[in-house]
Amino acid sequence: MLGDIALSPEQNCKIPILSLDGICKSFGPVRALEDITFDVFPGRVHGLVGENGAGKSTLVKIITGLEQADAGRVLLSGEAVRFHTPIEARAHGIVAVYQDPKLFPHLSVAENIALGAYPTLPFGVINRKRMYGTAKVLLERLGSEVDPQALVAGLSVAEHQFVEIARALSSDVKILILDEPTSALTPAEAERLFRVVRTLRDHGTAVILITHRLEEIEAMSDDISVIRDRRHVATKDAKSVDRASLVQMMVGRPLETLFTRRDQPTFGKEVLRVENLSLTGVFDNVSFSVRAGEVVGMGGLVGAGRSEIAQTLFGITPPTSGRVWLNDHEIHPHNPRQMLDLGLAYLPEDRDRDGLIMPETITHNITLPILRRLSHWCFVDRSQERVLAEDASKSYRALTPTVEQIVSALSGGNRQKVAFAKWLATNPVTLILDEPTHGIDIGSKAQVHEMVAQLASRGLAVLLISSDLPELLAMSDRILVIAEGTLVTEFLKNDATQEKVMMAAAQQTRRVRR
Amino acid sequence: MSMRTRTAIPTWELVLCVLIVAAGVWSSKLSPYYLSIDQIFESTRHFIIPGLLALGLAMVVSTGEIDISLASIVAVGTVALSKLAAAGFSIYVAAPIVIVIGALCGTLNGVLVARYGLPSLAVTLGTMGAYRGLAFIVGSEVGYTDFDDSFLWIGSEKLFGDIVPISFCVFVTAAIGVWLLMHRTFFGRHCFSIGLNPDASWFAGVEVVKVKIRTYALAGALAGIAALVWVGQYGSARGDNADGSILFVVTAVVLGGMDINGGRGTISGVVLSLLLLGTIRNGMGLANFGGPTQTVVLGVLLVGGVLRPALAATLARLRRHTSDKQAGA
Repeated sequence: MLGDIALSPEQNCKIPILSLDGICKSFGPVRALEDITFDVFPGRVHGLVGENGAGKSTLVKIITGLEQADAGRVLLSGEAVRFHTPIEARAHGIVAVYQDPKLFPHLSVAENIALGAYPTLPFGVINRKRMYGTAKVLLERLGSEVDPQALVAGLSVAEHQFVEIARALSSDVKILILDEPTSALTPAEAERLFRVVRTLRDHGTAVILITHRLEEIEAMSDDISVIRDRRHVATKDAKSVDRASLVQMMVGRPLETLFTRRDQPTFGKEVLRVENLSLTGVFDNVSFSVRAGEVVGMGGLVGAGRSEIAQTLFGITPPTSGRVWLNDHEIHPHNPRQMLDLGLAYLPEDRDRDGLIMPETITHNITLPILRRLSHWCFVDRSQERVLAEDASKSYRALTPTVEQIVSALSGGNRQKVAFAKWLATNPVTLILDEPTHGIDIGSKAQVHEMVAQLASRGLAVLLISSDLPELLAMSDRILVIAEGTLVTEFLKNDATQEKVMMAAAQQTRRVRR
Repeated sequence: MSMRTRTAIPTWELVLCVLIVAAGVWSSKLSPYYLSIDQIFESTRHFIIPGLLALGLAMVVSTGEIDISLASIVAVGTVALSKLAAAGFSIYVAAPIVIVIGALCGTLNGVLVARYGLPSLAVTLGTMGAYRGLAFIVGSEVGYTDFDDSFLWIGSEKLFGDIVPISFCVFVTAAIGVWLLMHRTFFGRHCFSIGLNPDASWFAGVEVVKVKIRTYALAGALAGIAALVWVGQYGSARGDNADGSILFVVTAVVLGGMDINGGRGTISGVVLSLLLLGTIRNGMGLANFGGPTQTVVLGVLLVGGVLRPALAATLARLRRHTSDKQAGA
């Protein structure tokens, strides 16, 4: 499926420096990219946009050789290439700068910039004078005042970014990929960065810019490619699109018919109430409540602080201030054990790292939070444990022959069902779901949606964090939007549209400098 | 792969059994007296003290931590017992106090490791020196040997028609207790889950810090019991008691199939490896191997024990590679 590519006449006569032709990539049973095809031209900034998890980062990894495509070709100046490491890609002039640069903290700025290509004197002695000189020139080009002799450990995130870009410029860059370069920068720093990007572009470098901030895409891009649900939607000349049509392309229409909740849900009393919850430097003054039988959605961009709010409520990182009530009792979350006993369960976003113990069996995973309850005189009642696990596995339709199966051998969807079974075995009154359908196949996704709806109709209060907008809209009775650590707005089910939520999430409230 | 490692544990225990028989045969060839009941129980004396320490260490290792200060806690225990005996306390008062002192030493390790998140190897290397030094300072240079017979009962008397040493019964009781604790109670399950994934365990409501501190405290208490056995067997208490036995202890735990990174292993494996090491050491004694040679053998066995899972993983990877290639072709 190739989108409607509109090329201006001046582009037509140019030769693309980088062409992606039908790139496909799967991680196990999960498709990450399907048939991505577009061209990048020298001397132009190519904006790459899409929702969280649309597949942008995977695409960058394939271009720079961190991952290998399953199918499709990467053409560099018309010639098919296949990089196996980022070093190979770099040798061909392709450099990526990530949002959290990986530098060596105990080396100086100049050493980091020159790393791997130190200027040398005879006998392999490093020419320190030239190394510092080059670093100084590169940093000056970026308009940065970072001292080349300073240790990287003492620099701010923004300065890290500049060092990383200076490092990129130290070799002959043909294609510069910037992945969310401004997420940690102040507006002034961002502007300085973009000035450098424009200079590079005018000297003929192709730039691929990935950012959530639509105003940056509008200000910087010459071409824009949209990726949605792992597929390439369109590549357009920036002059021919406005923000509204861009958002429309990004959210699109859901590809699969989503499970929708019943129209007339009945809500019980307020179960969870949060007032002015704050965690210094992460989120501020967040207040909301969830009633029994209600699904409250929480939308926002990655890094907006949604998971952190949920984890604070679950007692992982206690809040710096604010109050929390659960079933009319004020509580002070400081420990997951305490919260589970009080009836609040949290399905973590990173299922494989925090949600499940991968090398353990299904049974052991499901019963881990309730082992104490399954024990008499400290001894685990193993027959009761097995019955419980088998019942859970049946009712969540995890398709496994036995509950003695090791979890790491299951597909993403089945793993998620095991995680659900695990948290629901604790009989919670409030359930916080953090990206419950992230990285699972469409069939399991629908089952998860159905499960959430059933739980709500049984009277559970559900807080649903999701970056999948169609899902958020279909499942939620109310939607809270978090942007940069603040609750910016709240929509009722009938008022919310994908465009409205997206606009609210992408707005800049204030720039928190880390 | 994971399925394979799960089934590999009983297999390893079988391997240990075979090795024990082989070592027994070797020993019996060296000395005609080897196969007498008396001699066999005599040989158990070689591993009862390190065995009690190994049971404790196995609990600590199951959570992914380590404690190399246990032998020093034994010295603290014996010296404390000598002071209590000198002050005229009866064994019934002194023994519980020594066990509590051991548990407190272990708790200090646990608090430093779990609450403050310090690396357990460094912490217990430090306390290994500190506890040993404390035992030397509190105890006198010459040591204390004037124990009343009631203090020696645990190490010298025999039960069941004067055949089975009491110290052996203490060890068997401790082994059964630790086995039940680790493989049948929620505490043990929490330990192994922490060893496999501390973050996910914490998210699942396992109180990681408390559980880790408890494993250290229990290991310390077992070291306290080992101190009682020490005094019972040797009738003396000095700062250098049990010095150097930690190599044997760590070797027993690792060779018994406990994953040094935590999360995997069985107490029965540890007991079997203790039997194996006890037999080998006894045999080496009969064959007149010197102390340094015995240390070399133990060191090699320790490295072999650590290498075992890595070797198994490499073999599995090779097998997968070849099967992939066959599938590809």
